Amino acid sequence: MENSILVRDLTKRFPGFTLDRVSFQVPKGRIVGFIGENGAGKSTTIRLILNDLKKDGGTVELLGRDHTDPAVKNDLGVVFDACNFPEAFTPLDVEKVLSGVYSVWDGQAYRGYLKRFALPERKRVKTFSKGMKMKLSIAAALAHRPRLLILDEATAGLDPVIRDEILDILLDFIQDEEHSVFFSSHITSDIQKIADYVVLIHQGKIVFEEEKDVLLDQYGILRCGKGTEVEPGDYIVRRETGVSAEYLVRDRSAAGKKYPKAVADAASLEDIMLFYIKGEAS
Amino acid sequence: MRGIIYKDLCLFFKGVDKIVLLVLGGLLILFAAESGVYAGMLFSFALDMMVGLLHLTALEKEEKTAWGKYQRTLPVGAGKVVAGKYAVVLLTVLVSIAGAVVSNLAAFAFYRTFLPEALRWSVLVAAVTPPVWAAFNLPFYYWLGSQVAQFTCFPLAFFFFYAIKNFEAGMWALSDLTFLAENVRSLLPLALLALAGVFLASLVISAAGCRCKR
Repeated sequence: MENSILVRDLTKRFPGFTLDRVSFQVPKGRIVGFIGENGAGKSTTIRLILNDLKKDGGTVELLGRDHTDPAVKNDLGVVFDACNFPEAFTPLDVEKVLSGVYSVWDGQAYRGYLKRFALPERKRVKTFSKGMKMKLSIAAALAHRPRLLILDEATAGLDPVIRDEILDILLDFIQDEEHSVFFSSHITSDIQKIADYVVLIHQGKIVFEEEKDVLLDQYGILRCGKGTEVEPGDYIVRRETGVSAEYLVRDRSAAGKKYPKAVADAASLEDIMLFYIKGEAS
Repeated sequence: MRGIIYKDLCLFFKGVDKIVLLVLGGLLILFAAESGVYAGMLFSFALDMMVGLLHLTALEKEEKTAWGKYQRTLPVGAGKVVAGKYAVVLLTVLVSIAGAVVSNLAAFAFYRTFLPEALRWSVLVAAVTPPVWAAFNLPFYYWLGSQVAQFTCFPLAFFFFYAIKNFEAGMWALSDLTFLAENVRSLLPLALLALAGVFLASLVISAAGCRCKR
């Protein structure tokens, strides 16, 4: 399978924090969710991918080219957690600026997005709500027909209705098999809704890179009373509560059969993330 | 690069808000009341300063929304970004020159006196001030940010206020300027060449600063 993003052993050292040999991939035609708590290294990884920070080691390929190749940016759409257009600009000003920067600009598509998002063309960005600003950022990111969309916490701070609209846009975008989305968020429910693959980062290290359906269909939480002991090889992470122990298991139906006294529940992405971050590995 | 130049021009002109117009209007009234036919020249000096300040406020507006972070994701290199900024500074020289011509002609018409030396000085200062301002401030902006750049414009602003104050107090007169002009005329080409050199050196320093932000 071809990759839109291929990251190998990406390393960056800061005083007090190291992004440690991060490796993952974003296959073409797929949405990859990048999750982790605040400060885990998500934004640093994205800045390194975008060549906005100098890496200390490793390689990054975007759409089959080295990420330092300036031409690759013509095929990228990037949306950050806040709208970066000067507040004095109107959506029409944004179009005039970006159409003079990208080698391709689809003005009809841009105005189509403005209409779809009910964004007034001649009003200044400073009069927009946060949701409207994010929609404008997305419209601008899509109008130059990118093949890869990178979103860094783009849904943070938005209400569920607007978040849902944005997720729909991403699903529309991915209908073209040539397109891919790399979507970082700490709102795991958003990732759960749309991602094909999930990458979890914790303290600068990749904890897992897995298909979302495998995580949701096969992973589970085994809840046991104090008397039940689960063998170390049967679980990934363990968490103690006051009266019981909980285990994150890779195959919940097998675990349920092996430990009939325990309750095997399905695990959400949030559960899995919390287990990995707060639990003790087997 | 066309988009970057449009962005900088757009931010420059959108910076002309009610406060800027009120300040310029107030200065116009003040100069007209105190300086007579020199009001046009003094007003054009103030306008030159305002052009420099509008470039600074444009930079501040960019910084407020972290435009630079977004700009680094666009297919345009640091060299072009900085060159665009300097190109816009040169383009806005047209604004300050137009302001100098209009304000002087208005003053001459009002007082029914024509002072070619005042017009010549106004146009010269209008042509030189924005590039000098940019050459001085933009490297500070690209290396240290807009807040530091705001402070570095103070020496230039003090010089302008000093010049305007001296004219208003009658300590300087147009005859002094004429005398000065006659003496420096032979040095003018050299001075303009030096200014172009400083402008280019400033551009290179700014481009290095913009690259280093990464």
